[in-house]
Amino acid sequence: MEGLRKGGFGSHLASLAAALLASVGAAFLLLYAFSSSFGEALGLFFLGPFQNAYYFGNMLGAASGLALAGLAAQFAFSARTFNLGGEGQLYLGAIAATAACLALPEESGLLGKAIGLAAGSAAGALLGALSGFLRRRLGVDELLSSFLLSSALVYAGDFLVSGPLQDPASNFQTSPAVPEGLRFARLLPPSSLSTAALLALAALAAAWFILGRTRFGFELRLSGKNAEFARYCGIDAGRYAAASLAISGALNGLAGAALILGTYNKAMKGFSAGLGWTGIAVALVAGGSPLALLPAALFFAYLDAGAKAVMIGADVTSEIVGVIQAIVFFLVTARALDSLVARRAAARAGRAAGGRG
Amino acid sequence: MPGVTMEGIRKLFPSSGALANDSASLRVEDREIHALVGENGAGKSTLMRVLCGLERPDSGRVEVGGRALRLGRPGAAAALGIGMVQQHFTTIPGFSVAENAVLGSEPRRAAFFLDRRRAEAEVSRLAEAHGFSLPAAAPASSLSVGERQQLEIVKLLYRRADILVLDEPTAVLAEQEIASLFATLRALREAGKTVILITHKVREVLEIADSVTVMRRGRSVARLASAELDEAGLACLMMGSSCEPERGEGGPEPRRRREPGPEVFALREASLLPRGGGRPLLDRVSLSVRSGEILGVCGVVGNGLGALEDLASGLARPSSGEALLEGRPLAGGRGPRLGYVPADRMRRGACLDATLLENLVALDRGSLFPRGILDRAGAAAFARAAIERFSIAARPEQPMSSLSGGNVQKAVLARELAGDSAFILFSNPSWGLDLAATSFVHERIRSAAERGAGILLVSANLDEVLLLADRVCAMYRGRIVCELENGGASGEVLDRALLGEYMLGLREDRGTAAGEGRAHGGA
Repeated sequence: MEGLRKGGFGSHLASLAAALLASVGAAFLLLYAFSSSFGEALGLFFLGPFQNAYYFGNMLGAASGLALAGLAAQFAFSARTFNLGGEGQLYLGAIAATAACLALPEESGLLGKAIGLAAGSAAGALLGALSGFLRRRLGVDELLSSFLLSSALVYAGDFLVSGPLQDPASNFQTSPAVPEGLRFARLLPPSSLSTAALLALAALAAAWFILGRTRFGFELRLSGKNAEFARYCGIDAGRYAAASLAISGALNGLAGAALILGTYNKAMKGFSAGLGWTGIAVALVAGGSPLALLPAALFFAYLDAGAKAVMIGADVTSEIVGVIQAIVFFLVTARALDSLVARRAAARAGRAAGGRG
Repeated sequence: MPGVTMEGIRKLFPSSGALANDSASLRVEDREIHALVGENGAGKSTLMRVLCGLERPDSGRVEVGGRALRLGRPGAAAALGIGMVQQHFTTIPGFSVAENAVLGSEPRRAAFFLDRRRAEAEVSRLAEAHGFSLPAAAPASSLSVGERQQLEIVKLLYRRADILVLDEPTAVLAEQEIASLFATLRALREAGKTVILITHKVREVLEIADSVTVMRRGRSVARLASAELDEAGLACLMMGSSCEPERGEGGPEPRRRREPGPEVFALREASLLPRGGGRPLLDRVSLSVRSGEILGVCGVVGNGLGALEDLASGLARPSSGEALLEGRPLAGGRGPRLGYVPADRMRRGACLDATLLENLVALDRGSLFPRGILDRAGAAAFARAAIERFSIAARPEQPMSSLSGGNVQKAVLARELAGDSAFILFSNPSWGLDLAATSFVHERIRSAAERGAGILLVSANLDEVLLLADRVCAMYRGRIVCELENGGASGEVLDRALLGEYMLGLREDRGTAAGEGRAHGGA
């Protein structure tokens, strides 16, 4: 027990390193078994993302989305709430942003972009706040409510994209593209890297400041660490739990809006491809600090980019690449979960032993 | 032949620094009902957990039926026939009575399947033999509290326990259920079992027990046959009063009286009902605390002290009546005008997951977060000052969980006494503290009163209340049964035995209503 309590961030890093080594080993083995050109596949998997500006830019573009979705999950974790509704919040946020931008004139420029982002955040925040409200007023576990609400509303999103918002000129289930003037500028064309990456960086810095330096963040974290203590200090812990869910939803909505304005430019059916879930994994790897989300998001984006490179450039099928990604994902999140659980158990044990005295 | 002998048991909880047992001993004869009594924190439960193998003592030896017990092994204790009914029951609501009773040593069919019929037959037989009316096939969730306790006992009997330890078994029971529990215990004794009862209720001890061991501060201070005892004598032994002066020569010194100032805190006819309904936790309590005075409220655990703590701190709202801080209703969160040192300092009073600095600044958020943003230099200076003033042996950025129990307590005090609170609530402030730390805390309470704060001291420790308080109220079953001056004009300290009688419900002032009238008049 003593050992666990002493291990903090250091043991988190050590366990992560072990997981990374193990996953690299697994990738080696699978590529060796299933590729006729092992050396080439290996090279593509690990170095592919750096072989040209296009791949590299795509990796950074993907990382900015992962960072925002990761921040959404982490903000909820900071108050020890769990938002499993990222997927739906992100999707509806993207659709709301698209709808807002389609209604705006091309020349609205910076203000128009801000309105689009605000619309996306608002849609996500509403969904998150609904889970927060249900938890506060009716005691509904936010784990369930956020997941179920999001799963149901994904279908509402599908309906919007293939119905009222459907682009009449397209055969796909997609909305029309938002006006050129409302899109984020591409930084490494033709890759997907855009100024949305700067937005993600700004969001991480803002969250770091709010959680670490403001009264709001302090009270929110205290509410999560020990709700009874927070109440004792005159803090309405339940309100912060609800607020954390609303903010988490808003960040997911923002991630969705940023994807539209930065990468896809139009809302397509199911375009988010599990980003809301991957965000949770990114947050688990990053631990408690918003700044640690940056390397964590880059790592996940790097894996994804490597997998795409190996799929395009070597004879490895997408299934094998999927398996490798799943193994890496599993090992990393399992290790991250492990240390998260250990830290919570140590804290609990400390409280129990203290309570007896 | 002796049933149980425990000698020289010492148990220190390193994380909190609490010495729960300090060369404690116990002798229980075969086939007797033995009561283990003492105040909260006297070490009764720890001693029994040692007996059951749930705690490994630092030193000491235990013999059961003449055979040495391997310490710290629940299995070894069970093999020698020792079983314990914990204060919090461990039944599984969805399982039937029989399934609960046999859980862990089930009768099986074909070595794999639960033989439900045999389990039910066996449990029915056991229940009947001991006079329980437990329907073996009924789900445990349908049982009353008393029946669930019977089920816990049946569980032990099914495992062939001969020595049954019951931790505060009457705390959860109504009067009639207590009578039937006692009948059961007597029947068990007739059937050849030995019963050890942890309790702090004097009346019950005299009614049911053959002999008594009294514990105080981790030590066994007396072993007596209950026939030799009366209520006042036992209460005196438990509370560690005149039988053995604890503080210096001639016992505690009475406080010097001051002229108290205006009223800073009051309860007016305040009641608190339990969540599920039932007897009120607090029943129309009125009291008034004035600036510069210390009002002590004492009572035996389970008579509403905890509820009073919750109400006076604003954590609970009165179901009826009012709680007033400086004339305004206590509502919403606590601010810096109300200092509060809770009884549970490890969980409620501290956030072990946060740093020492975060714990220290948690109350003064208004001034340390000007315009909502942390004043880092100010917070660091604030923490340094608190650490120095209360000589806390830790650095500000250290996680609270790495502090010793004593330092956590100091940090709680440092935070709560930092501001200029008008009213400070202390609940059992010396729990878990050694003598030196206790007098340190008492000194701080006195100086806070001298500074002009009104103090409400809620404590199960009568010595502490008599040492510090200007006025003393006793609580019994959620009501204030007396309000007496302590060390008044005549300088006399109240009579412990008299207060003990109030605390045990043996005596009640009809004149309390007049005291309430006075409180109203002063407002």
